[in-house]
Amino acid sequence: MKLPPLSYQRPTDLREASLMLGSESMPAVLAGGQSIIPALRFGERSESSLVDISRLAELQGITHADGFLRIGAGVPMWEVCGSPEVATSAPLLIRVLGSVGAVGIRSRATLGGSLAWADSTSQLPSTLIVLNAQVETTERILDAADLQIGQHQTVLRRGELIVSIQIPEVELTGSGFHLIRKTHITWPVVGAVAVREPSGQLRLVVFGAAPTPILAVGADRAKLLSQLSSRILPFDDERARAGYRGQVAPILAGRALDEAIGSNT
Amino acid sequence: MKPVKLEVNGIVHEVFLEDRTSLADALRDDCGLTGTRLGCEHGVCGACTVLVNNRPERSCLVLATQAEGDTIGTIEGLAASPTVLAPVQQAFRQAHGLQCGFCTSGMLLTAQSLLDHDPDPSPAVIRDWMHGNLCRCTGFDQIIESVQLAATLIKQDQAREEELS
Repeated sequence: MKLPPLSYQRPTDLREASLMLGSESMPAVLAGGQSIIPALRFGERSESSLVDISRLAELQGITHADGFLRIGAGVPMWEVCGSPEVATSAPLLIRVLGSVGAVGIRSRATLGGSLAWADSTSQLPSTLIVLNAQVETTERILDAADLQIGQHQTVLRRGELIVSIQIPEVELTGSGFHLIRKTHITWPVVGAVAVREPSGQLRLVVFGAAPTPILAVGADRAKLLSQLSSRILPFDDERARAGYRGQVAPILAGRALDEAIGSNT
Repeated sequence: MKPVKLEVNGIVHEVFLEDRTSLADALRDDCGLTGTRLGCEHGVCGACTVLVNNRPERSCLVLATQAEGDTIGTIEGLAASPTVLAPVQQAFRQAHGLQCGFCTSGMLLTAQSLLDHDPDPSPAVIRDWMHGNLCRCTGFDQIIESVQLAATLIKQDQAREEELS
């Protein structure tokens, strides 16, 4: 399917980008474009103008700052995967990124784009939540857990852009990641990601089981799973029925927790 | 319509395009480079894979105007001349890595990019790179073998060049 007519603008800095995004034509943000271009092709999104933020210098770079690993929102996943800084400070993120799309998608797709797209079945926002990441926008700093409020819905205002993702540099004593997907290239159906902090505290996030990621925190595996079961709100989509999601989510959550408790990475 | 300069296989093409024109359509319809295949047009099949700054990208998910200033490589630029096969092409032919050939342009460019970044990839790495390109003929094992053979051929070529020099 060909794209409908649209206009394209490439701002030179963040300020200009925000101005363009605030304009009456109600443009959409074009970052890596790996989700929005298909959505425009299918008519699932109807914006007729795009603001390309992929070359903005302010959104690039991977650095250490004040106990955080700071990843520019516009850094392609390809570079995140190859970054020695990320490999040292957030190896779980690299492991999870390996399950996203394919090399030829990760060459363009970005973490900021994934967060803003806010797909309920995506493994990436959940991974950033489990890592207790903060999201720096052009207006404020948010907990990654507070960003998404529904399927494809976030608290971001018109013209507000994600600038960076800041992951606390905490040595985790374990992590686990399990997901179900129909093929390697499609979005996950449902999955779970968990970490164990040095204090013994566990963090668990389940995706694809409710309109937003489900976060549960605590030291006790059984209590976390019971917290989870009361919050599962499964949905139907073209990849799976709600009943399937509801059944599989706790099993994957248990496996992710077991791996986090038992593993040393 | 606006003028867009695309640098493809080392040659700058000056074309007039609508903003909505994908890189894939611009390559095929405006640059006359029809070796790039269009399959699903929404990023799943990988048939339209081209190299942008030496990374494999889906040319159906990039607007042509976005690629202005980038270095683009297509299947037409893979071999050094029209009468010689590049090692990856030679390997796919020798190891039966294709049947109908529709997916092959994308396969070859992904494989070339893999071997540029990792000259000696493990089978697991080859699978990780190649799974984003769908083939409905071969059943994939021969494609994995083709990439392994390509790695060997490239190493042999390099050894031969070193001997000569």
